[in-house]
Amino acid sequence: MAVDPLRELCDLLARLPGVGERTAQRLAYHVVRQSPDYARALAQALLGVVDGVRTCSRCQALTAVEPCAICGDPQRERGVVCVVANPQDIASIEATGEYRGLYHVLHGVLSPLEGIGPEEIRARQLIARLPGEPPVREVIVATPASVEGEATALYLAGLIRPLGIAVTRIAFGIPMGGEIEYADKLTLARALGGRRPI
Amino acid sequence: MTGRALRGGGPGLVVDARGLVLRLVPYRESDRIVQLFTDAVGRVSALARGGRRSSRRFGGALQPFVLVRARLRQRPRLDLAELIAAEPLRSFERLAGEPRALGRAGYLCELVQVLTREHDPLPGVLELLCGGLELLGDPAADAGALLRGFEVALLDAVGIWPDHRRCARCGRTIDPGRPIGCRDDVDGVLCAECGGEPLPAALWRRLLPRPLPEVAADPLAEDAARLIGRRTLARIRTLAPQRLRSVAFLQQLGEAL
Repeated sequence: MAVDPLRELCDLLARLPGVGERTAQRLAYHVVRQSPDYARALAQALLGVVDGVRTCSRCQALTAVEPCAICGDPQRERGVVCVVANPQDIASIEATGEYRGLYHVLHGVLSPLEGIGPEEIRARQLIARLPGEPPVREVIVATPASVEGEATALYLAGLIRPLGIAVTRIAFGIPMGGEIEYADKLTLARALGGRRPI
Repeated sequence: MTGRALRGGGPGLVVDARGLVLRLVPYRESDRIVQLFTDAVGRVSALARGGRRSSRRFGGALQPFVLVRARLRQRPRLDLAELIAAEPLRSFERLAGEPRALGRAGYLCELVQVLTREHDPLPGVLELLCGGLELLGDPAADAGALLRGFEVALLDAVGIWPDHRRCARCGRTIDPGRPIGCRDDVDGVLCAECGGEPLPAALWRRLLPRPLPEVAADPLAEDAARLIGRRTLARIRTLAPQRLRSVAFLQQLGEAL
């Protein structure tokens, strides 16, 4: 029996995260209504991602070049590594303009409910790169402010500290512009716990 | 307010409940599907609109292992409820100190996920779960005893654990001062008259649902843990034949359940 290309496209789109059947159908019809050049460019871009994007062998971020632009930048401070859970977290930290060191992407945090254990996060690769040239002197752990993010941070700290490298954790608390009156008690408790002298 | 009322009470019905966040799944650009175990409506899945972005609406509530006060609304013609608001009441942060504690906490939550039905309020289960998570963060608690004790208590709460206070064959009340028996082909235990392989009274007590602090304060020998585990895990597998993710997690850390 012949495959219905429209049906096949709907099925494939529906497998994307956050896309249900109705949204997939809407997207598929949208593509069909566009000029054929758009669909070809879209298909080409998808193939380009599949063929051209890989993980950087040093920091595990997604990149089209090896090493990635950040690892290959001689202006970056090479003695500091910021550890993030997901590749997209790098863009958020870069947007601050406050950080000039390198990164390491774990591709997840320890999560027993999602079946992500120590072997799934890229901690081994992190440990392997720390004694490089020049050696890393500080690892900043920027995993999420959740029990799982915290467990991951403490797990990494347990692996890194014996190497004589400083491990720091990003601060958590009241967001800029946030009012204490409206802060939830967990956030407020953490902000108080992480207070610093001024 | 019962779970049946949330589901069958018609669209727009709002329920306030305390619940523990079991699981979160990203949905669309900024939403989340949250699975909670609540005191009022049991296990429930709800759509949290803006749950990935809105810190004002949900604050730090939407993370696993957090006890929240939740406001849920049944949505018209849809199975999935809506999480209108959630306020964090408690986070079991001590679990973060040790990956194995986190894995065991995941196991407790996953057991509640697989052994309970949606919209079935089971009295005492939320307290059991929160009590278990609290004790897992306590270094003085015996984790092996706690896990077995939790399995027994949860299986009993969901109604699939035999009454070990009575003989499985004749129904007589078990007298711990007399020999107690067990057999692989008998579901439960046997009284002195009905025979079976001898079962020490201390081990028999472990097959009874008991308060978790009491269980966790009473270290369990490895062979006893295995014996109890054979019985509890066999029942868990009948309802959840798939391999639990938290079990695989713990195996990576060298802990077999």
